[in-house]
Amino acid sequence: MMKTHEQFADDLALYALGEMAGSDRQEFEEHLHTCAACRRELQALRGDLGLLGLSSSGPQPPARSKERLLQAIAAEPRRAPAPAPVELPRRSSWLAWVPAVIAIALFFITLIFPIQFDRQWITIGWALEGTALLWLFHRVPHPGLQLTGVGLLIAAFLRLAFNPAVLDYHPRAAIPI
Amino acid sequence: MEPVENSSRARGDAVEEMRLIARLRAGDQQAMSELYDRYGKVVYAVALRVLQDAAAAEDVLQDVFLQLWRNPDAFDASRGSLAAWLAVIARHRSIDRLRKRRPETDIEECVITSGPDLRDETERTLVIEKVRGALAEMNPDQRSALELAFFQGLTHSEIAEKTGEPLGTIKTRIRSGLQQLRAKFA
Repeated sequence: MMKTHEQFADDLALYALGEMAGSDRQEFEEHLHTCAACRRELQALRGDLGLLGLSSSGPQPPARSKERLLQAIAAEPRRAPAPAPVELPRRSSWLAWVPAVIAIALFFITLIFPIQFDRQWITIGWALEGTALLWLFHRVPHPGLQLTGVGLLIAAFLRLAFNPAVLDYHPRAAIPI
Repeated sequence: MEPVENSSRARGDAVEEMRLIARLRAGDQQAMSELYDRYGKVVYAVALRVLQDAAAAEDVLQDVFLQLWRNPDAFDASRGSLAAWLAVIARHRSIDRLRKRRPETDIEECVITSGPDLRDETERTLVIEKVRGALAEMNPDQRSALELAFFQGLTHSEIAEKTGEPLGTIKTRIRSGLQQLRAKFA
């Protein structure tokens, strides 16, 4: 008999704990492929298990253990053929392009402001972009994001600080920033 | 302004951890040594708690870090914390060993998502205290079901047999226990 979503959902913790085997497991994984709600809950449960794991405390591992590990890794040729030689290198080389593509995109977004707009819109554009990048840095702590964000905010600040127009009196409606 | 200092230091730790992982991917042995200094204790504590045997726990500790060395791409930094990921792998490997079976858990399967930021040591200590507090507040039957499942690797049916409770009750206890932990960090 086909199981219902609720029955599968009931077994999510079992699966996350690695308790399922054989046909049960296969059936469960088939359901997972089709059910986004179960996938989300499974990920959350795995996070909970991580927290539970961290609750253990104990003595420091023996000092020789670190030596043993370092010797073991030194003895392993690191770039040995991976278990899945077809897939892994392709995926990692593709991923290696991601930061470069993002950097190029950022560069062009930054250029859009002086090319497409003028005066105050350059300043406002850079200030907004800088703020957005710093917010992004908070979520994805890549130093490049922080550097670009701060640089843009400094540029926006300098454009305001060294703008002689701020020293002149203008009617409120016509202030060139 | 302590909170600001704390949060900028936490970010510093987070950046440092990302750098370490990048160096690890490039095959830098020193990065491995630094990651071991950070998280060796967590992995060893979990393995020791499951296995109750120092020598066996040390073997699992070696095994977990060797796996990370061989396949650092298995850990996806954008999807969670390395500390929690290592703790779960240490648990799974220890249970495999306890049941004297071949490693069944593929480390790439152990994706841990969301949750608090565990890269900063101070923050991690706070989180650990909070988890312990949540466990202490739990109904004892529920806590015991969680611990039997996670740290002793008993199946739900084994727990039901041991405690004389219906299987459905055990399932519910474990699942809602985990959800209670999560609620503490929502």
